[in-house]
Amino acid sequence: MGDDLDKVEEVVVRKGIIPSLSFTTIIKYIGRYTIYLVLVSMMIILSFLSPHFLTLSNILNVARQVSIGAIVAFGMMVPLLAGEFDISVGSNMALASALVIGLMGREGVYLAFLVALGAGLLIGLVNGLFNTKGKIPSFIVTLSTMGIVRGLVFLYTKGNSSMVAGNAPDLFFILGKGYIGPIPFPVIVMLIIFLACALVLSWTKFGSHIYAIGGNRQASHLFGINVDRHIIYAFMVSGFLAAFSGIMLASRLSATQPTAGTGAEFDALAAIVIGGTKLSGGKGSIARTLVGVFIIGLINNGINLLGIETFYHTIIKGAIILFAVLFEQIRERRQ
Amino acid sequence: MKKTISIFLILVAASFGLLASCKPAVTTATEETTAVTEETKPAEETTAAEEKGKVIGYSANFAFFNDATTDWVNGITDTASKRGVSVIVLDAKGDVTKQLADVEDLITRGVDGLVIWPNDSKAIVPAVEAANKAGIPVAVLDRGSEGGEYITLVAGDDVAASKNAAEFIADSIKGPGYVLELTGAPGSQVVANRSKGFAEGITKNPNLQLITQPTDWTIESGLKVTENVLQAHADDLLAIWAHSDEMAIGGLEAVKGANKVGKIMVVGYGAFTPMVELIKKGEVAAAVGFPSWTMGVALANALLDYMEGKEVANPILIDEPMVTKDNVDAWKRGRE
Repeated sequence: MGDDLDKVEEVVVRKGIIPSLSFTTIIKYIGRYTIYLVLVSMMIILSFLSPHFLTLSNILNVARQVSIGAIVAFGMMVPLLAGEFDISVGSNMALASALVIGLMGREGVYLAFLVALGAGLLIGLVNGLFNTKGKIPSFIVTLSTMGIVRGLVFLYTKGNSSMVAGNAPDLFFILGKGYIGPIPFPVIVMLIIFLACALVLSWTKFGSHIYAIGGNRQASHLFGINVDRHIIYAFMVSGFLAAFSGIMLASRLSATQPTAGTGAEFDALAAIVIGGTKLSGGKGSIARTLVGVFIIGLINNGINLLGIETFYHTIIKGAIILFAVLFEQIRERRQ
Repeated sequence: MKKTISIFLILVAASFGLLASCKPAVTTATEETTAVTEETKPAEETTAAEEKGKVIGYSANFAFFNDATTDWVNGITDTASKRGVSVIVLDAKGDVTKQLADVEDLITRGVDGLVIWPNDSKAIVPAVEAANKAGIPVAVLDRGSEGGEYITLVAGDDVAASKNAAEFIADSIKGPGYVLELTGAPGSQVVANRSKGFAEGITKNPNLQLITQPTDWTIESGLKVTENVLQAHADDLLAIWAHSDEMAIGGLEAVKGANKVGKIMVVGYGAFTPMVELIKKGEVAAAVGFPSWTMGVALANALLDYMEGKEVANPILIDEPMVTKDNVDAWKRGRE
């Protein structure tokens, strides 16, 4: 394929048909950034289908809606890039939501935040320990903690939904409902966390070690990287961000229910996979995950905007995701 | 040494996994009930001699999923224990296969009566038939079984209640404009019934157009769907109705976020504690009252009456009144 493209390029460029910007480079660029093209195409199509789509208000609306799920997905990326799954994030979110609302009244908002975040870190630590020292596959470990933590949430809330008292401090509400100018606070938080994760993964030693471990664990170990410690830290990051998003969710909803976050781990995984990151670890970028999150968010937004009948929803969602990933696969095969 | 540690850790993890799947809360309820039964036995000796020492089973689609399901469990166990009967509660957690296994389990344990809240009316048939074969009377809750025999079905009349809610909205708003119906997760009879009733009732006001969008029963999905719909209908959305309190709470948050409180009427379904507070505060106009506690009590009483040889009505439809600010104080779901 590459050879053919080179030949075509030779002919096309030599004959001056297009300027010397490499023909293959263009194709390669289109190939590499397919997923971004998918996102843009969806936005173009939606703006034709509904006049309400391409408004600042709606775009910010979508951004706010995906922000909590995006933070969960960013968190999951860290152990995933190292080759490990964390599917306890949904239950983690629920616990943080329940703790922060439950403790806020009596203990004050700061302590409530600390406890909720601490619980998230602890869950990450437990996941990391059982996976590394216990040598249990991460899918099984986090599947178990998913169940245990969810059970804890039900125990703590006794199965009831809880609402935030109206006199709760402003600090709590700003997280989920605040604005900086026209931009919703959750969007800003999402972007900050996005940048932080991107920087850590691309520019720090920790980040490059994570990729290395995901790419070839044996070799990383032989190179002197403390694999176990990195993985434990990765799980703790995932747990922390999941708990953080749980707090944001409680703030956004002014309430929580014990079933909060159910399915969040699979939504995050879907976004990651749609973005093009391989589940085997070692390769992938946070930016692609952000795109994946937005693609899903746009689908939901479009469906509601157009008032599409219920029975078509799952068909449409499935079809769009199938095609989005299909383009990625075509790109893969071409390479 | 390392191998031993790993095996040990795997066993620990496995037992955690098992523990997680057996909800501790459920065991507590059963243990509590048994303890209470022990205490009330002597008092009941003269009045319910036939019921002494009896055990009934409750196979729940969900045991402690939300206020309604929790009320059902408590309504049944409380009523039974008052009559000297203990209850074994098994939680299928929405898994129809597990529910079939749960019912088998209860039959094997030799329960004297069986209450079932089916996950699915068709799939539960073999379980009901198995109970019939074992000679165990079956009472069903919330939805029937499309085969086998049961002594009674206790349910709220969702279709009528939803129609009532629609007419309430139709009478309260002039229009023209849109009404958003936030349904539960598509596929269950409950959702189909509530949508059906609502669609019938909303025609009372021809100025109102209906938008129906599904959610997954969560507050979050209610919020997100309403936010999206508000993007397209910022000025002409007049009312929001949801198939449960949770989505209505989500919808209310969206209304608050869009600064439309007072301009968009919000009506819930369930009227549980959080919703009651909102109705009292005037943030939510009304909610369909779902008398889950009363249903649980009626169910246990019906089954125990049957076991005593009395006649029992079939079905037993419980009224689901509209709860508004005017009557909210009188609405107690029968608990107190």
